[in-house]
Amino acid sequence: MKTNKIKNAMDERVEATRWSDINTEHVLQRIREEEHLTKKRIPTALTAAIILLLILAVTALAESKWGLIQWFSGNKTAAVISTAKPEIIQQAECPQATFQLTEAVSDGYGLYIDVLCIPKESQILLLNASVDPNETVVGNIGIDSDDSQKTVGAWATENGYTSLYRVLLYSGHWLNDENLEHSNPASFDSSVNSTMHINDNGSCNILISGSDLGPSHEYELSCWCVPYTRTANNAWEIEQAQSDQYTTLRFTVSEEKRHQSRIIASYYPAEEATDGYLKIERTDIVSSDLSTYIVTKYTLTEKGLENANCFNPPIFYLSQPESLEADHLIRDRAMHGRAGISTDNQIVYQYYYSCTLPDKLPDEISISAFSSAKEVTDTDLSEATKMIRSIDEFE
Amino acid sequence: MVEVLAEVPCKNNEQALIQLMTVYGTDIKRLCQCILNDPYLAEDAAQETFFKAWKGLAGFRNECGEKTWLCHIAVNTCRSMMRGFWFHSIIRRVPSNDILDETEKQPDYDPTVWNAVQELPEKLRLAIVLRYYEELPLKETAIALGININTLNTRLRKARSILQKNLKGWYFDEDE
Repeated sequence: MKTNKIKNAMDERVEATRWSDINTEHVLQRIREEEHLTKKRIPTALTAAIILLLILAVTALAESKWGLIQWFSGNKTAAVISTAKPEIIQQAECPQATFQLTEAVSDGYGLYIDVLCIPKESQILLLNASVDPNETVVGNIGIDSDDSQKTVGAWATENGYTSLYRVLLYSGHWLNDENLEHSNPASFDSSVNSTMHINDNGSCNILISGSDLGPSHEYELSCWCVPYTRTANNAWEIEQAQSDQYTTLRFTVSEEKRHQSRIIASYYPAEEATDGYLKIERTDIVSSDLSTYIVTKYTLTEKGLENANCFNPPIFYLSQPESLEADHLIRDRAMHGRAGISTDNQIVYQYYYSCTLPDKLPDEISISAFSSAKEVTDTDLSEATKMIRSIDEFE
Repeated sequence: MVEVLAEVPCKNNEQALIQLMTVYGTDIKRLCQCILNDPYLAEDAAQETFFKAWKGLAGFRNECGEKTWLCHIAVNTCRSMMRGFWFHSIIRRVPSNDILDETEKQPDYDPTVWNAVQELPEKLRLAIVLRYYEELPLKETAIALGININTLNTRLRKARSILQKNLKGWYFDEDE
């Protein structure tokens, strides 16, 4: 059937539908009503603006003189990190710091770890790998300062910290830092995402996330303190990490610390999505108390299996329309590597993003995979996002 | 293509709107009917489209054709209606004394294609209707839907694939 037959067939159905004078009259009547309302709205808007200005003036006065705002707001300020007394489940020492694993939770996809790093001397400042003392501003890592745009390095100098160290937290299963030399880099199979918060007493909490490897797995987390040196022009320069100078935290994630996750939407590609080497089977949106995941499952084709030794694991990209407003963006916190899952007679690999879904979902997002061969056909997730929207509407 | 607004000196006035309604009214009303599959809702949607167009006349900068611009507004208006309570509450596709009956009463009328298009998921249906019913060029269709051309092509491919399956026996050739 040619596509012009679609037009003919649809034309046949709607040919009796015509724009009439009544339609024109209805639109014009609506416009006149709107114009009338606009004229009425102007004085109302002026009155509202005056009232708003009065309220703002009173509020500003209250904040500066009466302290009413503080009285009303009470303890509503949310802490970035819980200040509840941490439960120490593991502790390790190195010459510069003590590392305490305060919490480790998982949900079958992601593992989330909170490590409290306590410097052993008061002039030591510990920073995580994502902080550059020459660039990062204090406002971004929880330091309370008059000038939130001051660099961490400048703030450290002003506050008597003479020794700065980068804390590297590394597991054989997670790749942490590109500058890190380790005895077994071949074991890297995933990535770590970390954020930090400096506490008032000089210690810092580093939150890291990685792949959950199951309830029986014993994780090893190697901890380094890599020194920064001060250069002649007052910049901080990181030294090379020494592969043997580390301490190790060992832990498992007990069942009571494991959160349930559930699939809230699934999308199966309408057309076969393959580049000849791998084939995208489905994409799920999975939710737990800890995070939301976009999980793409794929299998290797016969050709892919034959070339498995020289076939690099694919990289998946989540793309959203360029014109999307920031409020509607899916913010991806971490992109994890693949894991094999055996089903009946085949191994299904999965690749997932840990992400934050916006309140209002974009109309379309897509997952593209790039293997060593070429790009795999886009997997359009528009139907999946529509399903989530439906779930939101009815829940 | 007729460009109505180029011939009207002042954009933000009733005269321009009346011209737009005269030239594109029927097309937009039919487009709404193709999307909503309901003549009454389509009438409301088409009127709403021109009301919104009047409000946006001052901002129209000829970055796309007038018809594309109106189609874009109509598509968004229909989408809003489809997500509204009323659309989900009423029992649609019930024969009544409307033009659908008149069409369906015709002895040689075959609703197979219409039904197949209506069965498509919303996004695929919009792509098919704008591209093959309204016959907008690819670029203009993409603008009207607010998506890029690659996404549009993917949707058209998917839609054609579903139609090919559902219209087995009808579908014997493809011209793109």
